[in-house]
Amino acid sequence: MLIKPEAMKRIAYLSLFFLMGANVQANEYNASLFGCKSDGVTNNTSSIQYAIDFIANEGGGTLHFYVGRYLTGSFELKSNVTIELHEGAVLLASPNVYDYLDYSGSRALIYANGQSNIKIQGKGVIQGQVPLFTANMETLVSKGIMGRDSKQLLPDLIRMENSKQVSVDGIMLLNGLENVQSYVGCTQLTLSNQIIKSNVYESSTGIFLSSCSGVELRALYVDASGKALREVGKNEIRIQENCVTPNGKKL
Amino acid sequence: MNKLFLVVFVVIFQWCRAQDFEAADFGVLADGQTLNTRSIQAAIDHVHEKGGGRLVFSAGNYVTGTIYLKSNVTLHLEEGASLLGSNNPFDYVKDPYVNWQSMIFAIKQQHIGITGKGTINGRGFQTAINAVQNVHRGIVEDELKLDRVREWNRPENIYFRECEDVTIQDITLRDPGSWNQTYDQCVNLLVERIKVDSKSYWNNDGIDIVDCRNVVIRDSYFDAADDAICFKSHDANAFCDNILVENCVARSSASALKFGTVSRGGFKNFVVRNLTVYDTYRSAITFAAVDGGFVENILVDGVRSINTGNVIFLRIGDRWSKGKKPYMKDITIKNVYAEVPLEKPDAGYNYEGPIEDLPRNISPASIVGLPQYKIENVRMENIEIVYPGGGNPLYAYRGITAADLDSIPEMADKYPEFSQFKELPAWGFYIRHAKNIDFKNVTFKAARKDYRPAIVTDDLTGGTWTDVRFEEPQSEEKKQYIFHNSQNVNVD
Repeated sequence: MLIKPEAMKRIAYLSLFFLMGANVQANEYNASLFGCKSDGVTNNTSSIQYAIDFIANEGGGTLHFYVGRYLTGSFELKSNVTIELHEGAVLLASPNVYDYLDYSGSRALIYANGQSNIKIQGKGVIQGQVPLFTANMETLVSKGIMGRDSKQLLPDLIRMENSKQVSVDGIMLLNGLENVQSYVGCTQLTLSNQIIKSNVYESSTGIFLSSCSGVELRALYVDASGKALREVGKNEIRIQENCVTPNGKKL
Repeated sequence: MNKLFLVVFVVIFQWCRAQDFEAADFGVLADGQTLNTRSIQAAIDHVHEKGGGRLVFSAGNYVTGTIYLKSNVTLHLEEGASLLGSNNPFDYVKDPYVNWQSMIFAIKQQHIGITGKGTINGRGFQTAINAVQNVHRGIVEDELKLDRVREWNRPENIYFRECEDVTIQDITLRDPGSWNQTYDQCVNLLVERIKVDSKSYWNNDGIDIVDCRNVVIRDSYFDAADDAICFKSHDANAFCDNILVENCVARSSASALKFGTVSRGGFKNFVVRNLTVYDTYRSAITFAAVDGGFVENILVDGVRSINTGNVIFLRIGDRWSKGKKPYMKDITIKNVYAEVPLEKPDAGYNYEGPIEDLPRNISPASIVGLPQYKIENVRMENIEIVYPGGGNPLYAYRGITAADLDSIPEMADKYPEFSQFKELPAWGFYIRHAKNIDFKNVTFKAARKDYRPAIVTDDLTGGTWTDVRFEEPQSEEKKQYIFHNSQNVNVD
C-alpha cells in the first residue's frame, strides 16, 4: 500500500505527538517510588534529594507529593524539576537544627543556587515547626555547643539564589523563621496564589527579595509577624496584583 | 431496646458454656517471629468441629496472616497476648466474597467472638509500605491513588460478613493496614469495653458497622486517624437498623461519629448516648446520605465535644445514587456542649487530617440538603457551641446578599465534608434546603468578633426557634440570623 506524502507527514507528527506524550508521562514521579513516607515521623531528606537528582539527570520532571506529612531537612532543587504538593500534602520542616545544611552562609529547607526552570506548585503546604526548632536551638546555645550568633543559622522555608525562571505557585507557607522565603539575584521570579501565615516567630518576613528582576507577585495573602515584603538592593517588581495583608494593606 | 438485652443475654449464655482450648497445644508459638497462620487456622477448625469453645492465647506475641473464624468459636486473648499481623502483604488473603483483605475473617458464621484483655496489632504501617513497594516493583497491580495502595489491597484487623451473634469484648485493637474492624451485614453484634488505637496508616478507622441489625457498642474508646465510630451502608437493599452507642469516647483525625460516606441503603433507629469527642479534626457528629440512602429516626443525647473542628454536619448529596432518592428526617440532637478551636485540633497525632479547602475562616455547623431533597424535622435542644470567631473577610469572604448566598455551590456529587463549601456565610450555623429545623435553648458563643452573622438559612421552610442566644464581642447591634428564601421560621 502506498502512503501519500501528506499522510506520511501526519503519521510522523502523530508519532512525534505520542512520543512527547509518553515522555511527559515518564517525567511524573510519585514520592513513594523513592521511599518517601507520609507519616510525619520518617525523615525523608535523603529520599527527596535522591528523587530530585534522579529527575534532574533524566532531563527534568515533576515529583508528586500526595496527601500526608513529609518530614524533611534541607534539600536542593535542581534545574527543570518541579515539586508538586497536592492538596493535603505537607512538607514538614525538621525541628532538628542539624538537619539544615549550610549553603555558603545561608540555610533553608528548600534551597537552589544557579538553577533554571524550577517550580514548587499545588495546594499543599510547607510548614516550619518554629517553637520546637527554636527551643532545640536555645538548648544547644545554653549548653555552649552552639554560639550566640546562631541566629544567622535560622533556615528559611525556601531560599533561591542566582536562579532563573523560578515559580512558587499556590502553596501555603506556615510558620517560617526570620524569612519565610528569600530570593537573591533571581530573574523571572513568579510568586502566586500563596497563603503565608507566619506569626509564631517574633519577627518573620513573608517574602525577602534582593537584587531580583522580572518579579511577578500575584494573589498573595501575607499574614506575617514581621514585614510582609522586605526588599534589599535593587529589585525590579514587574507586577504586583491582588496581594494583601490581614489589615488590607498592600505588600 | 428489649431486643438488645436479649442479644446480650444470648451471647453471654453462649460464652459461659464454652469449652476452652489452648492455642499452644496446636503448636502455635508465642515467639513473635514464627508465622502461625496455618496452626491457628487448624486450631480454629478443630474447635469448630468439636462443637465450639474458646481458643485461648496466653501471654505472648503471635505472628499471623489471614485466619478465618468459624461458628461457635471465640478467640480469647488473655492479658499480655498479642496477635501480630505479618508484615508480608502476601500473607493476607483478599477474600473473593468481600473483595477485601483482613487478618481475621468470618463469613456467614454464627456465635463467634473475640474476647479478653489481649491485643490485636496489625502492624499495618510496615505492611502498607511493603505493599506500595510491591506495586513499584511491578509484581502487584494497584492504581496507587494518592500514592498509597487502595484500602481493599491492605489488611484490616477484623472483617466479619453476614455473621450472627457476634461478641467483641475487652480487647485492644491497634495499627491496622487499612480500616480496622468491619462488621458487614451482621445481626446481633455486641461490642463492649474495647480500646482502639488506629492511626498507623491511611484510612485507619475505629470501627465500621455496615448494614448491620441489632448492634450495641458501649463503654469503648476509639482513637483513629480516619473516622472513629463509623456506620456505612454498602448495599442499596440493606441498611443499619436498631443500634445503640453509649458511653464511648472518640478521637479522630477525620470525624468521630459518622454515617457514610458510602450510604446506599440507609440508617434508622439509632440511639447514641453519652459520647465524648476530643482533638478531632472534622465533625463530632456527621450524617451523610449521598448515595441514595436514608437517615431516619436518630436520637443523639449527650455529647461533649472538646477541641473539635466542627460539631454537626448533616448532608444529603447525590453521588452514587443511581436514581435512588435519598432522604434524611426525624433527627434529635440534644444536650451538647462543644468547643471549636482556632488551631488545628489534631496537630501532633499520627496521620493528621489534611489541610484543605482553603482559604476558609472557621466553618460553622451545618445542615445542607439539595434543592430536590430537603433535610426534614431536625430538633436541636440544650446546645452550647463555643467558637473562636475572628473570621477575616480579607482572608476568605462570603457575603449575605442574595447573589452571595446563591453563589454557594451545591456540590451534589462531591465527597461530603463540613469544609467542602470553603467559606460559608455564618460563623455558627448554616442551613440550606431543609424543612422544620427546631432550636430550643441553643447558645452560640464567639470569642472574637467575626465579620459574619451567627446563622444563615437558605431555602428553609418551617421551624421554631426558642431561646436561641448569641454572644459575640462588639456586636450588640448585629443581626445574628439571616433568612434567605426561607419561610415560616418562628423565632421566640
